[in-house]
Amino acid sequence: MNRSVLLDPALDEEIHRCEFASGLTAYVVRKPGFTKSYAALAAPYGSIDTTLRRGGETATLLPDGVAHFLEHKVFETKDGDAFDLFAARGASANAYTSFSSTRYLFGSSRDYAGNLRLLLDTVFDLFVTDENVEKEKGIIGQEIAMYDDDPDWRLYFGGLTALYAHHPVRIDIAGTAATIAGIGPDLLRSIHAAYYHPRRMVLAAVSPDPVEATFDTIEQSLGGRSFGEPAEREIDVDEPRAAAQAEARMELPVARPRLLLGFKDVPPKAGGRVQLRQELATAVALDCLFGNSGSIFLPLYEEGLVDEHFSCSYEADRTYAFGMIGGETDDPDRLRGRLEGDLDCAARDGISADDVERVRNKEVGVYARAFNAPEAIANLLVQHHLRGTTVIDYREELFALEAEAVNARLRELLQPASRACVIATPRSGAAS
Amino acid sequence: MPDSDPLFTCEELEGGLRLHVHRTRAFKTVTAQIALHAPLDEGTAARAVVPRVLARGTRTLPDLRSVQVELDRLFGAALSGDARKFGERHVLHFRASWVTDRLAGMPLLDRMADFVGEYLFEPAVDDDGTPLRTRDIEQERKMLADEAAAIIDDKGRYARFRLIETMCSSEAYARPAIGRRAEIEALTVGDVRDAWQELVEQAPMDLFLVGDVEMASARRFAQRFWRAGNRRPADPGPTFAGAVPGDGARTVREHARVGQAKLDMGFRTSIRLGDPRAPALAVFNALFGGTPVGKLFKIVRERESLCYSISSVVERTKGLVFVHAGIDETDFTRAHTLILEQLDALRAGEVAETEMELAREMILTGLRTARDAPGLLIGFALERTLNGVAPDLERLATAIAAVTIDDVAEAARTVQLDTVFLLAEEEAPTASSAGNDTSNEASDAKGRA
Repeated sequence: MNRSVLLDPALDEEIHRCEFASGLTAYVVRKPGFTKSYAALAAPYGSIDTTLRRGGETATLLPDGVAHFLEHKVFETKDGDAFDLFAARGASANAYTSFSSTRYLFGSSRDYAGNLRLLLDTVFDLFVTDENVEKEKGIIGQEIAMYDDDPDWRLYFGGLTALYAHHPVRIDIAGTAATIAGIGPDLLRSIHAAYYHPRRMVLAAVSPDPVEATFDTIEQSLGGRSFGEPAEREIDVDEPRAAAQAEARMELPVARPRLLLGFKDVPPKAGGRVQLRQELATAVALDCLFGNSGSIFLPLYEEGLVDEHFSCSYEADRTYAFGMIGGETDDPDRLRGRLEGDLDCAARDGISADDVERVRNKEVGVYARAFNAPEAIANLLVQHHLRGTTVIDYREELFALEAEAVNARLRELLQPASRACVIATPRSGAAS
Repeated sequence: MPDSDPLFTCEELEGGLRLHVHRTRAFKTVTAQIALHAPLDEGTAARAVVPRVLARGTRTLPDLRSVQVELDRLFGAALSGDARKFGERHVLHFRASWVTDRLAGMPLLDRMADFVGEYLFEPAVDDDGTPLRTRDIEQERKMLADEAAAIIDDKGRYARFRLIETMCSSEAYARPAIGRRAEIEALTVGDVRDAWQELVEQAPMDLFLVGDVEMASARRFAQRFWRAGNRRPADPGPTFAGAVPGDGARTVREHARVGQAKLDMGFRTSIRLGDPRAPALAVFNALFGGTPVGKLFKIVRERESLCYSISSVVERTKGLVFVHAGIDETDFTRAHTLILEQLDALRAGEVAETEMELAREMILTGLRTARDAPGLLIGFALERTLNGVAPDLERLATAIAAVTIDDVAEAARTVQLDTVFLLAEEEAPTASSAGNDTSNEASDAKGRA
């Protein structure tokens, strides 16, 4: 066991870190003022992992949606539904699959150590049968159907398929009814063994209980287990810098038109602080332009061209990075013209040091606020670990950030050839 | 029963302000939430525009940008408002939060009190000094009308909206918290100004403060933000204005461009907050569809693989239970039957002791951890306060732990199906022998007896 402590003196928080013999890394923050304990266990395995290769084997191509399918099955144990087992111990559990990771979590009001042991057992002991895998296909089929009816989701993936020609980030996380149809227990077992390996995984916990409660439970639970060779992430895609399509149009059953403008960015291959710096500078830039006080957003709002649901997001991982802005509008073509023009101006004229300073100030509060909620703290720690950074790196990078770096970032992000615009118009007869 | 542990220290201030303070050092922020009360009546739409217009500027921060820039400067403080409904009560809701003075390195409490006071009572004015700018009102009215029109874009939300509209057609509760689309479109600038004036002068108000704030500071916050003036608080009416149940089960079908059908079922119960059987209804709901240990999740989703999303929720002020499921439309009859079978099972007390234990634990977990989030804490207190029930987590937990299977069965027997709403692409067989097929129009048809 290799232990260390990170201190955040400004927030008066201690983050305990431990690397176990099994290879698992865990973080714990003790919060005596709270009743709730919360823990998240994450694997850097998500929908973008479309191949499997262990040792000297040749890579197998995986069906779309299998990471999400596995996430559903992990919560079925030989002792029954994991939701019930957690509930019996005063906890509620959940799980999520994203492009690049899968997370399992619980929040408990008592028996923290018992729930943590249950989380580890649930995630590391896969229980799949022909019957329970088959049964899940109907449930996931309805989940896919639900998202197919969600205009935001459709537009988002419309944006991703316009931006990316090859990278699997363009594929829907849950796959389709057809791609999940052939999934069976053997496939799930081999993926589980390869990708759910403690050496690749991270656990973050926040609890009023002493830090030892977490570390001892992990040691006891994983100490007696043996694990094979983990798979390494292999995403080898020759993705061009430019967007695959500059424009796409779709019809959706919505009342008002929607517009989405996507920006394909250079992926921060090195990860770690390089990735953090890129994410931070981009977040500050986008907030200056599209935040609540944003210099592009506000005039558009005051003109009534966009509403308060207009949103802006940015996501980066070692093999992809993209930004998305958009929302509902009466006049998507006019909005597009305005946005393109304003973005070109912003890239040319840059953001002032004053604006950067103001948004930095705001970030200080946003960061502190995360420490209000056990869920937010644990998820922040997981996110840092998967990136290869710490919250201390975050603070240092935030205070070191200068307007010039923000503006350089903006110029890179807003390259005209890497933009894609998706416009969704109401399908006739869709609205009452 | 353990000693009652009041979550909030309360004080009645002059002019219809009730102050509720929960002091805790657990958070890095202080949260202030303000609720202004009015009846859910024809004035709803005009009131719902008010928080949107107030966000557009104050006397000293006269436009959206100056307001937002000031919030950024105050270390990312947040201040916003919206409209909600609890039973037949319309509540305008404003929420402010900011980091503690220690983290900010400067005293923010007084600054935020002044800011919130100005935001509510001294909005930006037209050139002639009239409060609430005409242009802001016109724009925000348009945006709210767009929002009302866009409800169809979220098919799950739309199905719930249409179910309530149909089921409560002759009750005030049918009106959405933002008003009806036609009502919003018909608003004049004067209507919105009058609504603001009335709120400021007459609406009873609750102020909840959660954070490291002692009573003396809380009082100072209240005094700084509050303009008591010549306030004459008006009666916001009852939260529950009676029920007009259907004479059986209505089944309404509507067509839209959906791949997945949305099945929404509305039930009524005579148990509302304040009723001694309310804890039993809470356990009933956990066993029905309120949690993943409930029968809807276990049977309809996990055993039958009919859906991904299925749940039940209780509106505790009005006494309503809603079931929502996303299904393949060809499974409508099966899902409908299975859902009602689960209700019948609960009515008959067909609940294993282990199921009972899980359901109680799910609720108790929620109650024990409610203190860990300012929003949950205030939400719990507000819903109870406006129903005249003391917000006491400990007492409720004791009552939940004491609920028996017989209590659940009794609560389940009060739950009566009123209306079924199906949003589907194509015509499919209904559970009702005479299920009328209507397009965007409610019709009464005898459903399942």
